[in-house]
Amino acid sequence: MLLIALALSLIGFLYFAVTVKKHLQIIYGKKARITPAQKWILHGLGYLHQALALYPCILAWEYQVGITVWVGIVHLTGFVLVPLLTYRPQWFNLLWQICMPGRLCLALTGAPNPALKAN
Amino acid sequence: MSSLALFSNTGSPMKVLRIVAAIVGGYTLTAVICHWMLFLLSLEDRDGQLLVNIFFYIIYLVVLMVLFCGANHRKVIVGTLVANAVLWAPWMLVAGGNP
Amino acid sequence: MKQGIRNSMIWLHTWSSLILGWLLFAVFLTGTIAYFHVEVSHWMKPERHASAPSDDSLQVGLDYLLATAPNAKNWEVEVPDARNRTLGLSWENYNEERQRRRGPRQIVDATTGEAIDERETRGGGFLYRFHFELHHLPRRTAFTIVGIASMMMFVGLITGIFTRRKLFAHFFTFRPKRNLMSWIDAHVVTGLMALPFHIMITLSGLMLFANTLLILNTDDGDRRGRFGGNERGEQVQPHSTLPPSSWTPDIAAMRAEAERRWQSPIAELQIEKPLSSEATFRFSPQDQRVLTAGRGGRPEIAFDYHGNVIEEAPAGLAASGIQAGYSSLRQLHEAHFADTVTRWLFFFAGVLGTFMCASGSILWVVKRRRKQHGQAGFELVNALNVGGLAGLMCAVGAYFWANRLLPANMSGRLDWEIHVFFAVWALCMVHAVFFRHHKGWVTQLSLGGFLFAAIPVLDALTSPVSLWQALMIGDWLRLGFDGICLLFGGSLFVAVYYLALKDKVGSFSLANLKKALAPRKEEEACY
Repeated sequence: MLLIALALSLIGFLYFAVTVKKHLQIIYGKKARITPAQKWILHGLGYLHQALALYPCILAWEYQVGITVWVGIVHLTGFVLVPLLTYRPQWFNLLWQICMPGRLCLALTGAPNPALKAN
Repeated sequence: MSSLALFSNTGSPMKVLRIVAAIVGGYTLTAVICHWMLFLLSLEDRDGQLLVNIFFYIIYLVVLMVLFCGANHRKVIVGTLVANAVLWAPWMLVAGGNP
Repeated sequence: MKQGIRNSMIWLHTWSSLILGWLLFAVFLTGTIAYFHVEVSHWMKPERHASAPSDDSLQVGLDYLLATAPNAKNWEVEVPDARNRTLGLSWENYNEERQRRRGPRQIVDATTGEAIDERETRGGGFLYRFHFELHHLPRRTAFTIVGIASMMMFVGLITGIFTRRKLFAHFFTFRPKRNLMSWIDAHVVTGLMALPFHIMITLSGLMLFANTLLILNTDDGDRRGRFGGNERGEQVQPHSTLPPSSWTPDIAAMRAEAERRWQSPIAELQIEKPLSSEATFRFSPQDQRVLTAGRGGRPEIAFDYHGNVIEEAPAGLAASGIQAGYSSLRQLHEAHFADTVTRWLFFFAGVLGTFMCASGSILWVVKRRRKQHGQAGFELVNALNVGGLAGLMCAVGAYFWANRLLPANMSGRLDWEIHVFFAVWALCMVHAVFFRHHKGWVTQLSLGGFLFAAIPVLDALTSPVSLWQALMIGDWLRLGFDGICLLFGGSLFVAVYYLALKDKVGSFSLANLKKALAPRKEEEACY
């Protein structure tokens, strides 16, 4: 349960991170930009995953403690992403590959850098 | 950095007075706001105490942030005194002088 | 946001955080350690290390009580759990004053059933209490000081949010190797990533101080209820006891039933009127899932002698919404309810917060180094930084070392451990006054690094149970403590590396260390 929650929360933060230009460019190359509409969708997916991460927490710890654990997990995954993006940007690229809905959305609504279609 | 009066390195007496007014005056202002809050919500004793225990600091924080904005020290000092007077006077009348 | 408001926020943030920054660091550091104060106490009482709990531990405890207090009014057994590897036994005799005890009457080895005669020490409790009532000061004064510091922390926390331009664009940003920028990034990241925790802990901490800080409050808060006990059954007449051989309640079955209902192992068993057929058996679980009821957030179940359930109380309910809110905040702060995972998550957030406090003070200095070098205020902050940050870490390490190096049967050792803590801190402060810059940092961080990194060695040499044996019996409390200390000491050494051992290319260079430590006067360089 804990691992599922951690994974979901981390994916949620990946969605948030990708909307930041500097991190977007790790995946889609320089000159990549996203439109405001794409940003909203990606943010929405980010929030969705964070909310989904709440479910396993409540299952394992019931409501009150579950919410507490969920917040703690969000702290952890948010923090973990910082050294990852700084020191191992290629891992960020790898992790983004599993964010199917996000990649799909970007591909459908015009990939950030048309010349570099994400695999 | 900006050249607003608050951040200059000179410790003018006005500046010190403003800081004192904000901290002490802010505290008393928050106290009377809490009194009014409890009065208007008409809560029982214990629940009221607990509510104040939690909210006092949030209100005090906001008051401090407001009182430290702005460059004109005099205005803030006067404003704090006036606000305190305006809220404390009716409270003294209503609650029979219970600080 | 208007530039004027932002500047005011920056000013307020800087001053409210800086003035008592070292006190805040001390509170945060000891508070973070205090999440594991029970485990720290376990480490600091090596006499307990041999105890290896098992499913039979409950029976071992009951056997001890049978032998020691057969005619008692009631018995209480605290079984080993995730935080305790020994049995905590208590009993009350007839014609005895109800004693207010902090903790069990006797600690017993969970394997052998022998009473443990452990050394006198405040253990982790010292650090836990230091965190809100300091030491040497009268309680109310300390509460006021720490309370004011906490309010300043709260102001600093919220105004800090307003100081960062483009908060979202820089959410995950950390720019290494840029000195001031790196420190600012580190400060922001550790503050932002655990911001919900920081706000919660500061607000709940302030709330707990309300009786001291809020003059308008004359009521006493709910600090009572800590020393609760069994109020049930005011028995004056001894009951008729059965001989032990014919007193055979099926406690194992009762326990199994309780654990089945709660899906959680039991924490405690209370037996009223032991050794009689009128005995009542009360169980309570380890897991607490309800925060709104404060300490009463655990269910309870009671059986009679024949194993029938006579009472089943679910976890308490708060009397009102506000009480629920208050109790939840209090529980979140004190975290008594937390199981292992939850506790580690709290600890992690606490570590981030501690680092946030430290990096704040450090970045203030780094930013003003060029302009203010030599000025009184600047130098004062430098000295307080070295002594208050690195020095405090040395003091905590020294406290642990004192616990093991002072003889176990020395009288007054409890106070002496604390004296060592303060003495080392004072020495570091004095050292910091003279060596406020590079040298002070390198020396004190190295000392701290050594004190912590060598803890596993100290542990192995000064405990009756070896580390290998500890691994065999699964004493993760102790091994975890050793591990975290090693990690912490290692990270202090990494800091020393960055300060003194790294040359321009980034490789290890002892020459730089020599240069860093070489003073104008004669001194031995360390090679």
